[in-house]
Amino acid sequence: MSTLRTNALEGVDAKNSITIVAGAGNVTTTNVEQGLAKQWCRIVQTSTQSVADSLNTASITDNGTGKTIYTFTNAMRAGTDYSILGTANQEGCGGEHSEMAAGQYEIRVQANDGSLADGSQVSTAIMGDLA
Amino acid sequence: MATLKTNTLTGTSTAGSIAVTGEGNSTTTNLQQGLVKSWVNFDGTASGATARDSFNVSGMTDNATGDYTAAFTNSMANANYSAMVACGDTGGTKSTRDEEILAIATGSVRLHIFHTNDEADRDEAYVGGLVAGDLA
Repeated sequence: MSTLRTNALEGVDAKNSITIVAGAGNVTTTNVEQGLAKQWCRIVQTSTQSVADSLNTASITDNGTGKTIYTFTNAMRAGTDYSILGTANQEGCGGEHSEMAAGQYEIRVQANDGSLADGSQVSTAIMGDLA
Repeated sequence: MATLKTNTLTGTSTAGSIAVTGEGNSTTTNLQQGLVKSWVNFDGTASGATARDSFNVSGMTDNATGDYTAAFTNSMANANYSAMVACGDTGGTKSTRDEEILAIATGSVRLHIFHTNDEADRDEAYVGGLVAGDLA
């Protein structure tokens, strides 16, 4: 096995685009930058909202029961073009997102009856293009 | 800081496998396995559910209310991949919507949005999908 040591990767033709062979058949390629999550965060909403671990998350804001605003360290390229995935482990709760902007987004956790509820573990991830 | 400049990364022993040292500097992970192979953001209320932005999505199909199919540009190796979907709106109004994966195939994934209280199908303005697994 050969080992290449580097601290950073950068495309030559386009700095933000590196192709990688990734198919099970060792032929199909995909794009490194497009395949990377640009932000992820796991928080606790119950009691004082807090971050357990995160990437590219400058801060979170408690926006009320079941509602959290995530502010990016590095903003996304466009306010509404990125993809948000989220889940919450509070019993009977599902995660959904509402307010989206280049610098932040909000997620809401709610019970099956639609009422907002704090989740003890709420996980989110962002796919899309950084600014 | 060392910066490697290249347009393409290929494993030497196996073309589709490159190891990367983890954040704890002790264990390794696999670069290709850690990459999301497809993602999409689309408007489920718009005709055709056209994607606002996407990766490895050749097209969207609006099957019916709350029922959408995302077709891949490069297919997955099998139907064992992990698919996720989430949705929301910009009105800040709460509702009893839920999401599920209706069907998984090597060339596409079918997403479903519905009410949790009566299971009625529902279109949403912001729907996000994500696929992790093995490309063909």
